[in-house]
Amino acid sequence: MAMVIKSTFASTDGPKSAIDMAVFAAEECLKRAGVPVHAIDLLINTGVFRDENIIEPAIAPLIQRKLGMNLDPVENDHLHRSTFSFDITDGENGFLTAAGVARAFLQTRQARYALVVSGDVHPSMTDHEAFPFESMAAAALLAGEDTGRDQGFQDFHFRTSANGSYGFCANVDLSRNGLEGRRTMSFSVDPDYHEKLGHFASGMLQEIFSGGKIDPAGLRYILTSQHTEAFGRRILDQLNLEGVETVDLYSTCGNPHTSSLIAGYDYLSTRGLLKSGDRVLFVSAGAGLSAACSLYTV
Amino acid sequence: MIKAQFESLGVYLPDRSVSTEELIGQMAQKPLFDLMSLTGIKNRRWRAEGEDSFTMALSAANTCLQKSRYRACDLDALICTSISRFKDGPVNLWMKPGMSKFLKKEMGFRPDAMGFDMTNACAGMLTGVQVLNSMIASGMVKNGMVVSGECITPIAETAIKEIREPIDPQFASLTVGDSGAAVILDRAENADEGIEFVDFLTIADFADLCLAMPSVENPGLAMYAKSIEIHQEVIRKLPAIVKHMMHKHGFTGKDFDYVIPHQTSVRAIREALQLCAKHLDVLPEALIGLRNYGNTASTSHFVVLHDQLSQKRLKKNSKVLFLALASGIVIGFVSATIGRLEASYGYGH
Repeated sequence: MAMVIKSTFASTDGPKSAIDMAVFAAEECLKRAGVPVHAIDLLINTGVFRDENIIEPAIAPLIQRKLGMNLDPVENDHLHRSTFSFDITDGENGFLTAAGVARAFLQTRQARYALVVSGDVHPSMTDHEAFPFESMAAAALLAGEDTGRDQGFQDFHFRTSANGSYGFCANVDLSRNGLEGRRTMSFSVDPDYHEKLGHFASGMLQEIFSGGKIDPAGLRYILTSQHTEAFGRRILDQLNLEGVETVDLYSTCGNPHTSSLIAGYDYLSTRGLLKSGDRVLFVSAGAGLSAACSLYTV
Repeated sequence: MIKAQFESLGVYLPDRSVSTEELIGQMAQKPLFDLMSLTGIKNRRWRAEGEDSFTMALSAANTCLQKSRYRACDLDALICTSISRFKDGPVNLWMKPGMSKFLKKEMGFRPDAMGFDMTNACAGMLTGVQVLNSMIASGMVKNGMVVSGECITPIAETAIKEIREPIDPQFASLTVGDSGAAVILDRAENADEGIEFVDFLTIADFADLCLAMPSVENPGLAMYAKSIEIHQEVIRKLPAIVKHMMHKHGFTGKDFDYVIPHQTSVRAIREALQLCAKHLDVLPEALIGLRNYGNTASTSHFVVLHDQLSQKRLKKNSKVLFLALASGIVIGFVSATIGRLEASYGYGH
């Protein structure tokens, strides 16, 4: 059984709320697919930075509530149809981690549709000058289908550096921020973080290519995190991959953090640039240092 | 599909014990009810200086590895499910990198092992079990660890300062205790051992009944819970959900030796289980550890299980129904035979 992307949506026009952004993206994504909200078995939120630094409940149930998604299967007498929702927090790699988890649910027939949503906001829910990411709402509807051909996501690969600096840190010590804990987040970035991250991601890909886990031949696109302008292009150059195209969102909308990969795919699909059989390599990288990738066949 | 089993369990509990009496003694506005008899909580463990979610998760994970046949480098996945993601301080909240990245590096996991954080309130660890079980069943990984460190007593400290009303949304914060827990799952050794089924749903209509976030009255973390409303909703819905799960997965109460509910209060647990009893036919013995540990949030089921296993109180090859009840509202069932865990606690077979 293949896990395919039924539809995506990504936009920077959403409200300044991690919850409301995800709701906005989810509604538009489902509309594009023509799939009703109650069909979603699994809802995974991968946004990291959330409204007012809420830590309980998970943000996903709050999103599910606003979506009106199988709100009360007992009261409404449809226990055979319900949604399970939770958060996966894995920074830029969140989409591929969630997609890997979703595929495990789909392959074990626990779900038919999984909706992955993302979007980050400064906890103050404002355009805070210290926030290093672009607030972009994104959603991807994933479905399990017996397509009878080589389609959808293949295996998911992950890497974390065994030593050295984490590169990027975001935290808030609530004991030191007075009454501003709901509106505060501190960020620290190593000066050479982005350069190291590019090398780390291309190193992972090199290892995966040479190990035969992914064949780079015939790749059409590579979609990457958007840490700097031409981040994806530099990875392609380091790998000497010719004839492969990438999507640079950074130059138009900065770094959309957890929404980057969905936004990249959405860019291609909404412009009609994808055709059946195209091979798209998803690559993400972030703090840790960490990276992930998976090959997707349209 | 490949069947998974619980291979190892490790729990960390801080040494210091704080009584309910001691907590109430610090409050300006005393509760109108007897908190101890209502909840059944006499004591809870309390972090020492220098302890936080990360240190407690790490201690539990190391204990879990000591009891396991695996080393960290043998494991394919690490899932950290703490609600309280505090490191380098008891209320120092980390968003990036995730706790799993710190733990992976500290413990020597392989660079190509998956490592990510997941949150689902007090259902976190069992949600992690659900996810890891699915990953093992699908063949994505062979094994992995689910870990959580809950440095959750800062909400009790805030509640002591801020409770002003006889009925106050922060009263539930007085029930919590600190801990860490870790479980390793791998492929089941035989058909009688391991996880039979896992099934969860989120009744999101009530997602905002319990919120934890930084306080605006004092520096620190607060939890605001409409405990009575949550309990009423769970009580109203749980019997129908139990009935549905019984039909779907083909079980009755007779199939289990024990049920481990999320540890909230003795009275609430007894009331909820009694209402389920008419569907279950026979109500399995409920394992409750509230008296000594309170509500340890996402680790609660495994703290109780560890307590029972340490005392060798359980039958050999016990079949256990873990029942998740958490903010969201999340309701989940994990059915497992835990012979392998019993063996790791020195049970003879």
